[in-house]
Amino acid sequence: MKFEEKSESSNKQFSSAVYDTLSKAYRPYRTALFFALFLGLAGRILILGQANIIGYWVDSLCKAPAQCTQHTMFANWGHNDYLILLSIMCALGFGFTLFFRILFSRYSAYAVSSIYDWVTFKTSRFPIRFFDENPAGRIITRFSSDYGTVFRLFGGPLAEFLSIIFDLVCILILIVASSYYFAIPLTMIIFLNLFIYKKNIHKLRTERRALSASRSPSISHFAESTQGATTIKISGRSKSFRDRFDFLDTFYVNQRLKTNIEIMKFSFQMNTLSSLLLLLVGVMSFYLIKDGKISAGAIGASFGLIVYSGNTIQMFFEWLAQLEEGIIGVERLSQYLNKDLEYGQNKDYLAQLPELIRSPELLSKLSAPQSKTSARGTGDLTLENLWFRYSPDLPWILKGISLKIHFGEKIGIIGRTGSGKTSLIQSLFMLYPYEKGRILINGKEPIVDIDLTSYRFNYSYISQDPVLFQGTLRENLDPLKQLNESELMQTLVQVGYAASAQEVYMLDSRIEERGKNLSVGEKQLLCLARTLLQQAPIIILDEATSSVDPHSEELMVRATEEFFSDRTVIIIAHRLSTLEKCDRIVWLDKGEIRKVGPALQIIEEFKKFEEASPS
Amino acid sequence: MREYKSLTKYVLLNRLPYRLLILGTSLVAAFLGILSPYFQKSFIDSVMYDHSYLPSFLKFDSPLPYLFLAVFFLVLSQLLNQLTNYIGVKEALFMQKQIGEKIYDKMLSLKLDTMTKRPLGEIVSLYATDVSGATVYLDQTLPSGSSTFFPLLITPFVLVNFFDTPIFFTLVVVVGITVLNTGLAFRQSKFFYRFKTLAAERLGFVNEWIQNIRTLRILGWVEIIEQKIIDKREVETRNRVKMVTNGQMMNSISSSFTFIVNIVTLGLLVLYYKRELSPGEIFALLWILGVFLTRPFRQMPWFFTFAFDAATSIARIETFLSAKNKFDLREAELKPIASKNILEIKNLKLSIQDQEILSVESLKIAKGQHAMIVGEVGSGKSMLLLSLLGETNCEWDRYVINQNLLSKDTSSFRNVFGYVPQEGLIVSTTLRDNIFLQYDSPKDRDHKVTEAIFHAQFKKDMSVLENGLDTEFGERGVNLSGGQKQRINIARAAFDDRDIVVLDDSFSALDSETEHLIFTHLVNGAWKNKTVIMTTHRLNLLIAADIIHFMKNGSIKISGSYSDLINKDADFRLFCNQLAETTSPDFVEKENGETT
Repeated sequence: MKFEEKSESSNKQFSSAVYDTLSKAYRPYRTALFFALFLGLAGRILILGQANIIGYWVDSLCKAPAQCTQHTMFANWGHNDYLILLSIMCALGFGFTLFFRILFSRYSAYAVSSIYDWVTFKTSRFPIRFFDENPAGRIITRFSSDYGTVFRLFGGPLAEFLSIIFDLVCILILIVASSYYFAIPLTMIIFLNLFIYKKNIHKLRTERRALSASRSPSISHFAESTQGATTIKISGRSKSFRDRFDFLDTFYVNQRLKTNIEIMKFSFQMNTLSSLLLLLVGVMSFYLIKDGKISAGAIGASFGLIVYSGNTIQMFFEWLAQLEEGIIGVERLSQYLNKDLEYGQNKDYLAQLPELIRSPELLSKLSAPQSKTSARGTGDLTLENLWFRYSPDLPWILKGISLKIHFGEKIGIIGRTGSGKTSLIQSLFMLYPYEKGRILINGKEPIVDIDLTSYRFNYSYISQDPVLFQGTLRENLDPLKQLNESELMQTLVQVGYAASAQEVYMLDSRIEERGKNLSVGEKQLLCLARTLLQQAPIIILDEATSSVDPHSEELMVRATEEFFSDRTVIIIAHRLSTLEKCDRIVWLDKGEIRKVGPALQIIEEFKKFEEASPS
Repeated sequence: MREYKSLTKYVLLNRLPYRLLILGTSLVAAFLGILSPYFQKSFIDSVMYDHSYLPSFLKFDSPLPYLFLAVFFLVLSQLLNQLTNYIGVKEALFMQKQIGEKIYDKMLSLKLDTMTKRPLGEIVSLYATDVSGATVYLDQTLPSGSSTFFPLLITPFVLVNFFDTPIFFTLVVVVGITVLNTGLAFRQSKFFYRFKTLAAERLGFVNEWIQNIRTLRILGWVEIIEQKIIDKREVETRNRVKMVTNGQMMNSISSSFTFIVNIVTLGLLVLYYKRELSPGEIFALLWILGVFLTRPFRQMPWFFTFAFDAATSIARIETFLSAKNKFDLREAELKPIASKNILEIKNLKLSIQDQEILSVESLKIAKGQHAMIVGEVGSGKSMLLLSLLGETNCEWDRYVINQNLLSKDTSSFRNVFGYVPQEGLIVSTTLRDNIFLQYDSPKDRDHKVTEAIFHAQFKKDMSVLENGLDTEFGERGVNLSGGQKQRINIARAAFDDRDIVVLDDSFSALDSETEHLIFTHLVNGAWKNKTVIMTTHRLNLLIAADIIHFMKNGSIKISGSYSDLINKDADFRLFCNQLAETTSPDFVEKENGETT
């Protein structure tokens, strides 16, 4: 498969796309971010530097002058002076730290949010082929768990990670400032930590992946059981399902324990290194002070800092392991940012979108195409030698279709499965690009003469599987809020959904996901109303393969006759009875037009043909 | 296992010895964790020849033994901490399994009308997120509780002991910081909760967007749903920004607080109590505060945040577990009666949320009868079938299944019915398992499975399934069309071979040819003498039915043969006219194997 993603690479080299994406996301905030970083570093120096000042203070109080160095800078300082300096450092340090952490986390959250928006805009405009080849679940993961990880880690934890880096830098500087001897054990311990990190990281990654892999079977089993509870109970299979749940849940729980043990091992190894550091520094101080190489104050300060650093180094590596997941998340989102868009999508428009989406007025202007008013009454449709296939490596489905449909005509399309009926509709909507020939609507070619959205606004599509969206009833009819209540109510009365135009309250009633709180019949009426309100010149009616509800079928027939008398109607029929009132019928056979003519004549011929050579 | 009224108690008190063990090891670890810095300080003091603070019970001439003791206790406390973590995680996982099973059992036990108003996603998220949320008390709160609060509690006493600082001052500081942290943590857990809800709402739109991308493009509504998603995302980001601001405030305070307390204490001692401080004292203070309080301060806000979050998870699970069926024990009676009816019902009534859905005076189904239940959408057909199957909270005066007429010796009414729902159930496992509707089913009945597949007209689809009966469906396997799902469900009923088969509009996604074949080979073939109760929209099937029960507004309006009803009932005539107008199959179309 072309769009199959690379499996999460375990190599540590992240693609340059990650860098590009992040720098693009953070660019608008860079001045503020640099300022914040500067403050953050300064804040930690002020906070941690207190240990050194206390060291000087201690030296000034030293009872055994042999071990103490007097610092000329603080020659005449008393308790109060030290206290004032320490208070100022502490207050400023705290203020700076607070400022840095909050500022940085906020801007970081904004920055990664914009990545989400870009990926959304891109994904909306991928070729339909992309959606054929990737299961919805896999695409949605990008917006659920991948974005979730990025959003979580690039908010607070990144600021935390940066403060840890600041701490390490400060500790190095301050230790070297007080006594450079300690730089040796410190460097050593950093390298040992790095070694342990490298030794563990592969295992940790494998375990984490195994953990998330063990999670989904139990969750999907749970979901399936919830959905099928009735069938399971009636079939008397509760026990088998319960056992299966037990098995999958145990599997997950055991994996979780295993992963936790690995994390504990990692963390214990790091802990042991901290203890080792304490031992090393202690022994070193003992001999250094014995030889008179350093002062007591310096030892006190450095010792404190080094013990503190052991913890910090450990936290650094623990966070590093987590942030890697965030980077992988950014990488997976970047993959979508670099994919090609649907043929005919305007790149300039996409670039403007982030601003447009934030201002509904602009959006409604932009997505309400000019054709809505001008095209009505002039929906002449011409297909010129149309050749179509789903992809260059697949056989031709439509082989040179030429057809002229005048405005107001009722056209029926018949043909066996595989004759190209559905593909004809797909290419009319330009869901897939056609390769040869052209489509003209009112003499204009899509993409060449008019943009894709305006072109698609010339059509309305009614199927027997009506699609509604969660939101209010009004939003489902008129999402841009351009029509007034009386227009909406009139249409609802016209299709028979509302008994009278006075029932305005129903516009605010809530429709659930996929309209599942409505019956199929009600959904159909609403979709019909939606189609009427769209006022597109061309209506495409796709009859379902199987019978749904007698009412809804009747409704479709009625709709064609009553409501769409002044529009072009193209009916894809699976039952010949629906077609008798059409002006003309197009008989498709193996991707070619076999015959076009008056309804009754073509139906007769088709019937004969079917009887002669049953499928 | 003992039942606890409150889930919190159940989590904390179940397997009490282990819970106490967690508390015990964590307390010892916290105590040893304090011994290490104590000896570190002795080491420093001793290095600096300041012996005033060395422990009187342990005097060494060389500073090095103090260092070794410090390292020893550090390693020991770390070991104990890991042990506590391990037991905590193990216990938490044990409880997760218990709670997960409780939720699963509850979910399976709830009847359809008890379940209404609970979306699938909500129930799944109970298992997927709330279960691990509920055991936070075991893997976080208990283990880190000691290391958080033990040092915090003894610090005031240590300070009093070393510096004669008034106990009042230190107590105020400790209480103050706890109150501040609790407040911030409570705010944080609110943001956290909102964060989860908002993400779920946004994903609702994302789902809709990806699933309907074709429709959205055709409607030209892509920008509109994008705007909805981005609006949600913005609300989510705003909440997130508030959350990180609050969180960073917590972190900044906790990571700087020891330094602040240190300065304040020093200032207090020097300026207020006019103490002359020795170097040892200054270091001692830095040590005590730094080492005793750094970790508690860092942990405390998150300790509270997680604990609050756990409380919400527990509350959600409790609400779900407390849901009860109105009638749990009402089942159809299985007893021998002298009648040709295999099933008899009198006065069946069903109300959902005070609205009467069903009111059926009498229903009798004779053995071997093919009964059709018909009526308009919303007339209560499906609910009647589900009530017969015991899947609703309905009441009745009498509901008897005639044991005399059952082919097998059956003790429970569960084993009497075979059922094919409208939306076929397919589980993520092999085709064989799906026919058995159980996992790891034996292979020795494959000939029966194949026969059922043949009856259900699924054989033609088998040619594209590479692994035959071992083909995996769902999650990581083959995707099936609606028609294929229905046929597998029909095959399941054929395989099960129960006395009464209930078909709830089970052919709705099939083309007429396939439906015809299933009728000839299965319904009028293998099931010729079996009792079949079904709903349908097809006129030709009605004409052939043994008996038709015509439903209107939740009651059976009239029963009889097709010609009877046509003659007697105007509503039925109208209903059939509608069916006739629209469903006469003029030509037959082969069902698409894989629909996109």
